[in-house]
Amino acid sequence: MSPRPAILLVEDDRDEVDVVLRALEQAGFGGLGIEIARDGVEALAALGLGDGESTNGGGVRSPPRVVFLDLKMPRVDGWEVLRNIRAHPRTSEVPVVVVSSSDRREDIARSYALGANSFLVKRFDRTRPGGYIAEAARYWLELNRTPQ
Amino acid sequence: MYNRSKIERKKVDLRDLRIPALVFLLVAAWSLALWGLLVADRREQVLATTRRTAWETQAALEEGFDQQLEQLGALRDGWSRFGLGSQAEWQENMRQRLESLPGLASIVWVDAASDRSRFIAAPGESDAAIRRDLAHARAPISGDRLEGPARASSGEAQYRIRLPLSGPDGHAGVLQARFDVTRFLDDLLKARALGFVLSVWWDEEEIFERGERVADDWLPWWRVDGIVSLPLDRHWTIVHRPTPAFAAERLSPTPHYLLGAGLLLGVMLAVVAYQFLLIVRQSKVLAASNRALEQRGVELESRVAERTEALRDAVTELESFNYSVSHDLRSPLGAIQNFAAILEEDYRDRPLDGEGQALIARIQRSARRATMLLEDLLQLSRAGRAALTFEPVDMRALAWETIAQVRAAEREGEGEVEFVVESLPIAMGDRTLLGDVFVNLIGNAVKYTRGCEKRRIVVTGRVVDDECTYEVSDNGQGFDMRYVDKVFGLFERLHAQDDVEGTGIGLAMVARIVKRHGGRVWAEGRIGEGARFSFALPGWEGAR
Repeated sequence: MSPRPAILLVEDDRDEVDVVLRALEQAGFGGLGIEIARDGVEALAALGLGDGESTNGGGVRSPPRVVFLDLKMPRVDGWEVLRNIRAHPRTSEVPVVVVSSSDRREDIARSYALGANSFLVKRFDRTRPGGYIAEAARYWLELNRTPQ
Repeated sequence: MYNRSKIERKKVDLRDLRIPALVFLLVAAWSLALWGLLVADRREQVLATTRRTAWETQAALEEGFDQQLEQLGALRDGWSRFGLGSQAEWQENMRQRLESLPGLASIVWVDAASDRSRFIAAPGESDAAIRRDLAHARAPISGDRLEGPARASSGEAQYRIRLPLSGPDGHAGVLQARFDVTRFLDDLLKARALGFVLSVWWDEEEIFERGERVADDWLPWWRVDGIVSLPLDRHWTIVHRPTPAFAAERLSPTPHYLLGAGLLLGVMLAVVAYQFLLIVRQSKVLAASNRALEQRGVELESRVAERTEALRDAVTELESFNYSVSHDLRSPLGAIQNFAAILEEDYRDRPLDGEGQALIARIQRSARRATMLLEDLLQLSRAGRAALTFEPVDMRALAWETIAQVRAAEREGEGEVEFVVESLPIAMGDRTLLGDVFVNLIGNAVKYTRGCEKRRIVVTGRVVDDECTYEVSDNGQGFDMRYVDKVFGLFERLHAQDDVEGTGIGLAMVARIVKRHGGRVWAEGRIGEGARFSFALPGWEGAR
């Protein structure tokens, strides 16, 4: 079984990815394993829900302990990913935190309706860039502390 | 627009005059009938008066004759019974008779057998007339006689009454009285039949006339001929005719005034009827206009509803657009803030090293992304808003211009691109916007062939089925046909931002421009094998 990354970060903007990664490492989660998916297709692949799953000889990987999911991405968007996660029994219990620059009421409602556990609006914090993601990660990792 | 001319007064239509004319004729006929009745009634009154007067005159005449006969008869009886008496007595007695009987001109007694005679005449009678009387009286008669009237040689109409007599004392002979018609009638009629023209006829001869002469044809129907029965089976005819003054007095002009007023009323009613017709017609036209207006109102309401819905759709679309713009603009600006914050935190008390330089480069890159996004948005706005100027466009020349432009912007070291532009149909369209189409399609092709071997971009075109079709194909990264629906969507991207820079606006703008030209766009692609973007514009006679 391949090593299991605890956090799956789904984000198409590499600048954003770098900032969040830095914040998570500063918070001490670097050692837990952080996997990056740069769009919906990559995210589904990382979760073993992609097209190539059946032919993937690497075996079934266990799901991450928390998923940070952007909504607006090339090809497959965040909602599609979320629907797939909740539809599949193996991943249906994974905590999913939607991170979006949208604060539209209907986007938030739709995310929760599709099974999101939390909805964070992207913030640009002058003192701790990406710090709000790190705080959310601390909470969900603590809650989903499944035995190895 | 409501048609005002409909209610303006038109030229008079003859058919409109039928009812007013009928109204006028009815009122006029009624007035005429009333006038006729009134006039006839007045005439009847005048005629009745005339008849009554004639009857009275006739009676008076007959009475006058009776009186003459009666008195003369009494005289004869006296003479027959008592004799004539002395000459002086006789003369005195006869003078009284002359005064009491109007028109009596002379009294003569002649006894032809004894050749005796007596006579007396009214003053003014000539000796010749007396001699004629005496001569006339000698002619024997068998009974009472009325002789005349006749014109005497002097021209005056006169008549004689002759009565034979025979008394016990041998008195016999003839009592003859001569009457002057004019004097008799003048006296008898002096206070009668005032206001009438009278004439008395005997045997086709006019023997008396009173009053002003009027023409025979003056209102002949007012003439009343009375037959006066004279004694001894003689007849006079007395003709009555009212004088014009008398008739005018009886025939007041009221009926004429009534007739005039009636005709005037007819004209007024006809005018009123005509105006009423016009009003009715106008109100009909107005009612029709009102119905049309109501109809229009309903149409307008439904159109307003349609427009409102379209507007609501547009607002919704605009909101979604705003959201996408702010979302896409937020990322690079956020990145700038984030990296600036990191730079500030990490290099607070040490000089900038390579890593610091890299952070600054990322800030710059984000700023460039934000600028690019804003520029594309401006271009998109222009594509949707600008009025199209249609003209023939040499698409081949336009493609080469675009290629030159794109080449100039291409960075060094990305590898040569081979451009092929085949013969293209002349397009009918807006030159600037079609240029934008090529800039985006060729620019995209250049972008997605970066890093590929033997970069090759081919622009082809042809006229197919009344359409001018143009294609830009490349041998670059291509795309998965599963996502073909998203290719032309606004802010849709098939690649992560750091693989290929882009805003997700270019192809959306291409679609919008082509659509505004009345054309269509489509795309084909395969991962790793390249893509082909096509658009078709409506054909025109100059395409070749």
